[in-house]
Amino acid sequence: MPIDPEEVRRIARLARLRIEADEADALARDLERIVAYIDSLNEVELPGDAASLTYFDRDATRDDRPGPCLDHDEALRNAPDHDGTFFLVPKIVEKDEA
Amino acid sequence: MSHLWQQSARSLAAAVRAREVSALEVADAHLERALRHNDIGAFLHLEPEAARHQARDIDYRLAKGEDPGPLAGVPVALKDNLCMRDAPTTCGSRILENFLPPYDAHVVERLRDAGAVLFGKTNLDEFAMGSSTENSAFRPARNPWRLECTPGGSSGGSAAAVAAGLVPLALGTDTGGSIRQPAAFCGVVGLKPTYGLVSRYGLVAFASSLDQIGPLARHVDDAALLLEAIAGHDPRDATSARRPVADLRAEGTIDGLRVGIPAEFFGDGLDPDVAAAVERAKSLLVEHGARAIDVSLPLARHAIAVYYIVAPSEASSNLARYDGVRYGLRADDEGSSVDEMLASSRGEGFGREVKRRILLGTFSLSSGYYDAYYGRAQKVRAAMRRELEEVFARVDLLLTPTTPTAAFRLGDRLEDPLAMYLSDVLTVTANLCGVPALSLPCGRTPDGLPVGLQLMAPRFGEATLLRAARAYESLAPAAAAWPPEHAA
Repeated sequence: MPIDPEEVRRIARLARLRIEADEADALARDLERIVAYIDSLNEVELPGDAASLTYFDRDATRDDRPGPCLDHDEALRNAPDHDGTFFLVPKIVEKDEA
Repeated sequence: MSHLWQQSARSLAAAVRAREVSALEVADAHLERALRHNDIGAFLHLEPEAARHQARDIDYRLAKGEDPGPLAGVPVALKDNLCMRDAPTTCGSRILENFLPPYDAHVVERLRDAGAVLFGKTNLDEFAMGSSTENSAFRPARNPWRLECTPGGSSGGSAAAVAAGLVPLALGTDTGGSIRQPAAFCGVVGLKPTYGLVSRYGLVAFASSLDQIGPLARHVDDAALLLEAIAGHDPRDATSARRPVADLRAEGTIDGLRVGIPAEFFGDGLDPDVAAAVERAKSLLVEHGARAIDVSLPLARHAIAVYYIVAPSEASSNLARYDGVRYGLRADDEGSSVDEMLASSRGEGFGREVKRRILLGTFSLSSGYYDAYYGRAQKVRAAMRRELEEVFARVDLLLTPTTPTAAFRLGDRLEDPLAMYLSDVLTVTANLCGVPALSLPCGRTPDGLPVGLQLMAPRFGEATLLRAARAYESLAPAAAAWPPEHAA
């Protein structure tokens, strides 16, 4: 299937990924070739019971018991911006909208 | 008397425990070498002071009469996607350039408990996405056998460090071949364990249904020693297997061992020199009692296509956590909204290959394409696993080349992502089916580059893998030669 730079920008918006104008062309070419290759899966003849085939086993779960976890200061230590209590991000709600 | 850096992990641990040599002397010999051979680009961060501190502690405990454990004083390098408390863990990415983990990965805890000396963090393709270590945001790693060639990837730094004698042991991670392919390119032993044998707690996630941590070593016994130290149940990884670890050191014969030869792994694109080396290895095993049995895995032909849907889909989801809020890079120009801050931080922090895979995964999972791509890939994957299980009802192991060619030159495949992806055509099946697989050196091409022999076993068949590998290693000991440029 054809993938053009506009489609790359659409997918990039879904992935919250800024793509520079000069990157979109090259990425579109790469993705088109890769998708053409993976499209070969359409030719695979699956066994008759394929609809019921699943790959994943059930994961184990552990008991829901409180235990030691990351301490507050340690959790904030790698944050690009924080005020000692919370992570800080650009303003979400403007004052005049509030 | 050989140099300390030439000795096996097993003999180093024995000598340290017997106090014939101190852990500090062992650490210093390897540190000196790691600094001298910096041209390989094997390490992203070396931790000389921390390593020497750990070594002194081992010596102190021995002096008090304590036993520091089976890896007493043995230097071990960690791929830089494994969290080690307060040591940089970059994943080869700008987005984690300044990240200092507040905790140790499960494997790091286990290594500390076993008395290992943690040496530093090795180079890798960004977020383990690549087959040459050229996607490292910091610098490429090089192959000790020939510096203009890649060491493979993504655990290229770990494989190169072991091959050049900078450390006797290293941990790598393998999502589609990232331990075995560099092991093959660098002429060392690399093992990807059964999915679930080694806890992924503290491994920075790439594709969670495929990722496994495993050992790289110069000797089969050393790989077994390291795997024993890290294997076993951990409740912090929901996919960690609840079963006792088999005795990985058990000696045994290969007499009557049924070795399957899957035709699909010897097809188009296999370099004749690689094919010849693997054929010689097969003949040697057969001469010593193994039985070669021709088998077929028709669905394995589609492994790369399945892999490049499953792995990027999981990656696009796992890498959503890099949001410039809790850790990692935040763009200077953060824009005026959270969405803009997110997009510019990710755009600035991720390299080209990581972006390619996030986009590919987002595409495969997006509305309208999900059933045709991700859904179909999971069906093919399940059918592949059943097909493999049926073959393992008739054979104990599969024998194949690890890679279609020996190491390629830096830059050769960098502009052609599909050619780079096809480097892993013989290794991804083991990841997609969750089975263990090992690569060990089986001679060299006429050019002098190492060739890897791959053995695959049924789930939790590590003991069989190691038994066969040990047998081959004792029959063909020349395989353990040193790279000429790093022999002194």
